[in-house]
Amino acid sequence: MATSDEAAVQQVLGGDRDAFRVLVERHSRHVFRVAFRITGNEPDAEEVVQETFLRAYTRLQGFKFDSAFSTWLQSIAANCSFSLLESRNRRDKGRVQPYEDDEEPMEFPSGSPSPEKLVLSGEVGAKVAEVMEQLSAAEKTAFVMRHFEGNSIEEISKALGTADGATKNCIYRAVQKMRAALQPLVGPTR
Amino acid sequence: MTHLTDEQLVATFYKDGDTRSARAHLGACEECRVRMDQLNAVLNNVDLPVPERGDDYGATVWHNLKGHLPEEVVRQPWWKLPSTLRWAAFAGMAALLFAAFLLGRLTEPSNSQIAVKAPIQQSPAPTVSTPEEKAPEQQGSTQQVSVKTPKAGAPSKTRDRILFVAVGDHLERSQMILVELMNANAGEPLDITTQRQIAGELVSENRLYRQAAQRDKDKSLANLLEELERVLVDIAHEPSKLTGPELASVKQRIEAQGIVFKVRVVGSQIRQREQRKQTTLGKST
Repeated sequence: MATSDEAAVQQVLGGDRDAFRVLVERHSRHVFRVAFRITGNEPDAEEVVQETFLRAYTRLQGFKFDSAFSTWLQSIAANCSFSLLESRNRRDKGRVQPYEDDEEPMEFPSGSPSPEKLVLSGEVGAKVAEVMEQLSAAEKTAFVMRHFEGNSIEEISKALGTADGATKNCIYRAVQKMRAALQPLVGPTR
Repeated sequence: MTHLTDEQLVATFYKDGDTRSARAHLGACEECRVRMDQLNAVLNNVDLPVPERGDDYGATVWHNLKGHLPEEVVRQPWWKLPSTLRWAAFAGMAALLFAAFLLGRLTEPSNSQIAVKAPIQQSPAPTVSTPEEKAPEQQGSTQQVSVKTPKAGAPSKTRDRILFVAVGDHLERSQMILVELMNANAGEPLDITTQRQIAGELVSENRLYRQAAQRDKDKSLANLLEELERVLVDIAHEPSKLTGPELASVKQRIEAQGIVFKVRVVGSQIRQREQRKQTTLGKST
């Protein structure tokens, strides 16, 4: 019988370091998916995967079993991805301030989509990728967590370290940008 | 009739909060229903495919990760253990404290200085940052750095802490150089005069820390510093102006070793450890 997440966590906390392998193998692909959608490229996503599991291991004592382990892990992955995006933005632009609470987030369009994005078939897919590139780090993280992963506002706020209102604003702004780009392609206009 | 705002439509789509009144309104208002349909059409088409990862992906991640996990196993704190074990843990701690008290009474720490000569090419500000550092005496092309060390046989916590702070700073500065190069546009020429100079200074520091880590039998830190040193030496020996292909080659070498990630991880662990120590010291004073 496969070891449950809770049992594996207890084993690790009891001193069995190799029990963490069960959790890594079980959740790696999900973590990669979250990381890829937020960071937008494979090398960054791979880095986030490693960092996520490392943080999860060192913080395992703080896991309270009040949510699913996968949800907790996903929150760490989102936070790592967000931090990575912000640090890249700061280095690239040199004048960026990190997004905080209800402050208007800075936007850093990165130009043309990367080759990975262009593989997406269809004009809609390309447009989605283009809009994602134009979102700020906070908007991108909040939107991915809400739209693709189904996280609640509270979970997203906790991962980003922001207030619920700011999280809702981020999601709303991301949706507005999607709508502006995709409406001509998919929506009937009346 | 008051129509739904765009925010309310978005909240309704994602079922955030109590959307009963919004849904009731949609049933009665055609204009808002049209807007909702448009929003549905957009958001239902938002997809972001993810590159496939094979069945063995998890095993690969574990293979790359396990060497970086802290040596110290994550254990449950003693207050979460069953009561009998808790008392045993308490008794063990009391015995350790008594032994430490006796050791402190019987030994008397003293300070000795060692001078480390680190040859440098130019004369920048001191490159070794330690709390007890003296102002370096620069004589010609050498720089003398003094590091206070406790007498051999006395607890080495002070020395370890000094080393940790210095290594943490060193890793952070090394990481900055590596990330700057990795973020440069591949295929375009780049002037790396500054990065070369800094890399050269970092090589000297790195040797000191690597030797200290080897002396202290900290194998994982020594290995990391050895890998980092190779990369820094590479950078220091590159021409000042890199062509596009040369820059691409440098980036490839940095990436192949995974050194940026390793340096970031260990640097983060050192900072966390230092913060924990400072918190403990703050509480005890």
